[in-house]
Amino acid sequence: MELGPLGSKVTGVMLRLCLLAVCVAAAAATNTLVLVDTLATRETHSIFLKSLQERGHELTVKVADDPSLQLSRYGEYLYQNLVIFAPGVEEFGGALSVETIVEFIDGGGNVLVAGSREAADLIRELVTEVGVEMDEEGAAVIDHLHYDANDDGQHTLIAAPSSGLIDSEVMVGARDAIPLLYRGTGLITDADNPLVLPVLRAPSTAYCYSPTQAITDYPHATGQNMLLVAALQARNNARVVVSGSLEFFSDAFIMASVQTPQGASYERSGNGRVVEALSRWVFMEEGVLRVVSIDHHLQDQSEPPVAYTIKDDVEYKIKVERLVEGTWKPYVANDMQMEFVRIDPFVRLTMTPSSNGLFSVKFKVPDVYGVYQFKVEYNRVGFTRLYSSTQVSVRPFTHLQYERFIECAYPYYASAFSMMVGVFLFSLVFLHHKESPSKTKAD
Amino acid sequence: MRRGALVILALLGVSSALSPSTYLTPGDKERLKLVLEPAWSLSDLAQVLYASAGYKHLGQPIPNVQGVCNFVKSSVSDGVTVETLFLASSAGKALGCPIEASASSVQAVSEAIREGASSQELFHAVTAASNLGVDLDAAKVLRATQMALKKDDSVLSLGYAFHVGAQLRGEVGSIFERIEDAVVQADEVDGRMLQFEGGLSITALVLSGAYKLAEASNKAPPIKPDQAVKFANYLMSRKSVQMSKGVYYLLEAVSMFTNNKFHVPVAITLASNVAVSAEAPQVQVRVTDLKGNSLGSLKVTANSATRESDEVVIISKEALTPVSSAEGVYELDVMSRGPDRGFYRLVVSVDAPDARLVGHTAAQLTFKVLTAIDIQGVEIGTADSDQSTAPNLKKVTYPNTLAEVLVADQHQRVMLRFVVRDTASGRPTEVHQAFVKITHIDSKREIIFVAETDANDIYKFDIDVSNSMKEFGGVSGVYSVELIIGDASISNPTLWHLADLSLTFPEAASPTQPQDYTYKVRPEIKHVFRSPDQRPSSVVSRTFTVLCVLPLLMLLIMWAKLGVNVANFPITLSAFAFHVGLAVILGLFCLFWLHLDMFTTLRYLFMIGIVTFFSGNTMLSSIAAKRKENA
Repeated sequence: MELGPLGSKVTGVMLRLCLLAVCVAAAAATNTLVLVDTLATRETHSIFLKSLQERGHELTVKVADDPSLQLSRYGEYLYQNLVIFAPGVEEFGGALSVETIVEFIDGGGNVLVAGSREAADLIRELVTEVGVEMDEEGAAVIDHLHYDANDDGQHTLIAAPSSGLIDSEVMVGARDAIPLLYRGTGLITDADNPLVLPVLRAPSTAYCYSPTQAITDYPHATGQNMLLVAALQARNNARVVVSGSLEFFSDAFIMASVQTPQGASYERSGNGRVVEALSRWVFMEEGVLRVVSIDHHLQDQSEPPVAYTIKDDVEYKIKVERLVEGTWKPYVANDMQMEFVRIDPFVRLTMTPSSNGLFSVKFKVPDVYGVYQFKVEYNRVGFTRLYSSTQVSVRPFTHLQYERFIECAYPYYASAFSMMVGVFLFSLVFLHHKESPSKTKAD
Repeated sequence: MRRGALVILALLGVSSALSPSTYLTPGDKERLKLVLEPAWSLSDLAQVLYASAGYKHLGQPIPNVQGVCNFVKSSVSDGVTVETLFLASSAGKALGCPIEASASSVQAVSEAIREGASSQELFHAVTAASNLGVDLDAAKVLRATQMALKKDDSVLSLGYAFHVGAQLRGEVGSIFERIEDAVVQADEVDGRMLQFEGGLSITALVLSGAYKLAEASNKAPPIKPDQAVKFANYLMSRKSVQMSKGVYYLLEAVSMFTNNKFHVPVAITLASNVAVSAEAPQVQVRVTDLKGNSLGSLKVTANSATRESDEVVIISKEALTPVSSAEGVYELDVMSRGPDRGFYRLVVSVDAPDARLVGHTAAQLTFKVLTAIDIQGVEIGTADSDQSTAPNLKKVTYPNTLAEVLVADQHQRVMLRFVVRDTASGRPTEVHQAFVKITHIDSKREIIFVAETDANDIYKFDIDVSNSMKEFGGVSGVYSVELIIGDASISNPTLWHLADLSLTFPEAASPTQPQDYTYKVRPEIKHVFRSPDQRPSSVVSRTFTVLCVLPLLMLLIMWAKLGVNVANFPITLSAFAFHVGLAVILGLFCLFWLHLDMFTTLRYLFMIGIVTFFSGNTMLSSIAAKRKENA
């Protein structure tokens, strides 16, 4: 009987723990908002949306001019990811606008935007904010040498060769030779902008123009300078993918067969695979790195000292993990570099990887004292920016640490000691000398 | 407001002729079958129903019918819900192995028909009852349905009510009247499709319900033929559906549209390739129902064929001839009329002997006439920019590459001229894409220029090397010159590598840009330690060491000669303490040099210093006193 209250207390605690566990699980699910022109998009793009759901996304599909739209409530974002499959939207509904979406990206949110030939100004304005320009309204990507047999005759259904894909397995998956179907507008980016990545380049023979008008002006986008899919990884690691074609993600294109004018035919387009890989990338399921721990110490010790002395032999270790299928796994690479920086890097070395994700490097501290940083800045195409810096001070030798008994300093030693012996003896003699009596006599 | 606008749009849409532009092709059917296939693992009754009914509509044999039947039968036991009864009995019906009614299931079904049940529940009960062969009180069902509709008059609820009505014997006019209510709620998309909010399953459910109800009550449904066509267009636009439930509803509605008493939409599609050329001169048109079945022998007429760019009519009012090898396909020879290349709009009508056919007039199809082109009179070369000398042009013929490498520097121009000739008409022609692609061979960087025609349709391309430095980035080297000729209506688009070009830009003009390491490995930096200063040789240092010690030695020698003594040393504690103290201080300095640090040294020095100071003071004062005495 006495156990009653205790028992109930234990169950109470357990219940609270369970509740906590439920809350944690709910927080782990990624919330993704999908904006569409008409709800039919939910069905025409069902393979894409279903694959998101299967990967644990909580999808909210809404019409882009729904008056109840909002991205954040009480200063917290309701969604981690935003999919805008609404090329035709003239104005966003609710609290959504180009500015709030840009803020959302600044706050670390990921965005996938698809346009089309007839994309509204709003979508063009939005993609301009992320460094991508869509070609004029009505202009379509045309390629008379790379089109699919199901084309309607204008050669606007492009069978883009997979050689145009960015060389990054993290972003677009393993490379194969299957062409990708694309129908839409061309994208123009500034080649000098290092944050915008060309995910899919158009073939050399492609151009973007209205198919029914003769070419009088130079097309805005031609050949490989035109992008079909572009990506941005901002400095805060927020990711944005822009495609000039909404159909690129559609069930119809994913399930379609491809037949090129050169006679090659493929049972399935490459879209399914690339769309899957690209959506994994843009929604932070792939290519995500984190620093787990940092350790630095003298080579024969295991604890970091208060300060290093110049010319010390130091070992630096950093543990890095990569997100693979939702779990963190050790990351192994041969190109991770460490810098030892005092305003400018004094030392930059490539670290040795090991299978448990630990990178290590041994080096000698430079003979210049000051405040230094161990800096690891790892920035590779497709991966999040890895940055870690640890401040340490480097001091000069104490007077005891300098070299002793230098041969060429013997004269100094000898003079110092002779002076000391001299002083001692002289004081003894000067104070206690007794004049001999003969001498006194002579005086 | 919005609905009103949609109705107006729908009314406007009536005037333009519509026809389903696609049907369920064998490829589509195969894909739909693949979507349904997982149901045969026999884990979910609903999936089995969707698959069995879907296979029946597709005309596919069901694998392991007996096993599936056993699964369906085993899922019906005493006390199951009406919904399970509905699923099992419908699946049994589709499979051809009807479920027998048991006393408990009959009771469950009749209990489910009560006032207050939703129309979906009523639909399940009524369908289960009709599948099981149980007679129902039609009036009671009707009353319950009316109640359900009063409570919930959404499109979905109406759709279920239509299905209930279709299965009742007797007067169902009260439900039939509601069809109109549902149809006006349909939303129009792009002026050519009608759908209900909620997508495919609701649209398909309402449509099949409405037509079945109309058949049951022997009255034409209040759906206009063009509305039926728009609904059919919507269904066809959704044929890539990936959910087995969606496939089931799609196939139900499509089958209903191929086989009912009122409206059978006709799909008029292009059977041949969109391109017509001398090799394939026929335009072929396929006339089928939505499932791709032939509608029998029909009279198909081409009302007109118009070239889109200049509205030239090449065909008007001509009958198409049936193709003997394929049923439902009709063809027309277009190339015999000598059409120019380009896009043509073909308007086709079908004379309908069957009044049920809809969407069969003025179907618009697009085909294009392809002709081959030939690139002729190609001359490429260089000229001085100040035109002081005549241009030096060389002839190239397709598909050869100029043997020699053209050389140009900033004082010259590069010129290219050519004619694109239509091989059919023999006349020079203009194409959409006439680009010159110049690629730097080492860096693969490409620059594309547009070639323009002059009054005689001669294509010209002319660049001044010094003016186009920006495009080339000022990078000298060998470039390949390729000509891209493309157009939607030519059969041989061409990418032709016609020459190599060596460009020289002034050195200073190519600024060296700092290397960009954004995504790359940076070069390693190794710190260069300061090298130790040069030291004198040991001979020098030793010599000077000896020299430094010499004065002390000389002092000692001279003292020895002079006969130095310390005979006056007072035997006092203070004298000993002072001299020992002095020696210890000097010894402390040695220790400081060897291993002590400053602060330890100062501490010791302080202690020893005090003793030495006072003892020294005592000793010196005693010596001074003694001197005074002696003096």
